[in-house]
Amino acid sequence: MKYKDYYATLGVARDAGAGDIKKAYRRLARKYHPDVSKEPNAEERFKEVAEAYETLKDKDKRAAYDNLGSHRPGQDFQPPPDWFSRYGTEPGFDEQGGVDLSDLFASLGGGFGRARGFRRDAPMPGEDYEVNVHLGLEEASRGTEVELQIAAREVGPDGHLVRTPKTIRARIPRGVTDGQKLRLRGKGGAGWKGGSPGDLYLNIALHPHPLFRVSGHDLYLEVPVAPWEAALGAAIEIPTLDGRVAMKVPEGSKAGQRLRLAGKGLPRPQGDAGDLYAVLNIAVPSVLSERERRLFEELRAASSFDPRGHFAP
Amino acid sequence: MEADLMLLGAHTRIALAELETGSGLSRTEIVVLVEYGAFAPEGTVPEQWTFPASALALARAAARLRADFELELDSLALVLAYLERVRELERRVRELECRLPR
Repeated sequence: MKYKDYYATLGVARDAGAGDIKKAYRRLARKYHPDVSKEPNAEERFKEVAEAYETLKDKDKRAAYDNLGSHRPGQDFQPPPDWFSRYGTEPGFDEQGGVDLSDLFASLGGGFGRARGFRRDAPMPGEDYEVNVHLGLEEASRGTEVELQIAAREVGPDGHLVRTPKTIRARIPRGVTDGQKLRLRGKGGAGWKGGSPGDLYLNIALHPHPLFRVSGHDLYLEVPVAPWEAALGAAIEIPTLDGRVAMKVPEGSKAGQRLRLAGKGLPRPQGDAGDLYAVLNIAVPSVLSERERRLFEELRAASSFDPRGHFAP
Repeated sequence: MEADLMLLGAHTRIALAELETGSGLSRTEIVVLVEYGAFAPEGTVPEQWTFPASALALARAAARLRADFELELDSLALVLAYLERVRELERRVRELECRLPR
């Protein structure tokens, strides 16, 4: 078993009072709670903080934890010989023969995930899993199958909590988009004593795409056009998720102008699709040939166009 | 779409009982949160209430926030309102960023 220094996790001294422990937890929870935090690794950090607080806030669990002695974080250790008989618990061991320190204290307090009041003789629903799934835009568009690795906390046949690595395959339907959430009923942890299995919640996040930007089911594509194409209009081709399509740039187009291609965005689960917006960007050649320069100079001399005419004199 | 799969969006409706079992909030807690305006079901009495399936994700966040910060329901309703507002503003920012040149 690997030792975790719960006091260090919360940033408090080993003799800190209950009030200081609560204050430290709240400060860190505010910083790392995954529902409100934008910190990198917020979820992982919050789990550590919550695990530490779950044990240290409880007088009996804290005493049991203190009686494990002080070790270096991550150091392999075994509880003292009389520890299990003294605190009335013995954790289960997973297939790898390991046990997590948090499981030790969950067994001690009777906790089972977020569910309260676990009783070994009563039916108990399985744990819900919530996983972030990162997809490419094309995968989201056509649907895909993903393989998810989960450290499942379940009640083993002997009634002990065990943590086992679990692989779940899940089919993602076409039409999901960034920020969307899905529920797969019954794909969570196994129930106990006839309790129903938990559910699997998937939070979809899309990888950035080199060409398209995503807003809901609409896609945005920056389309560079030459100054003469913007001024005179042009028939061009642009990429979409379904391949290249023809698009007409209207005469007198402006930079930033959006041209909508209806139904060329991401498919929606209802069957229709979002739109693709081509955002025009007027690209100017950075190096001009002699002839190009001459023609631009001629245009400057001939044109009465004043792009800043609306500024007050 | 698979029978056991649900997109937590605005198009699917769920009943109070499903919101309760899916979120871990009690029926009483949900009823109070509805009174505080955190959730806006359709239907006149709790037995007839239906919620958009997206409410399930918010209710699960509510259950976590309530447990992890030991929040009272009135404070929780306020937090949820701000959370929703932040998410809507983030969505709007993302949409506007899409229009900007890279």
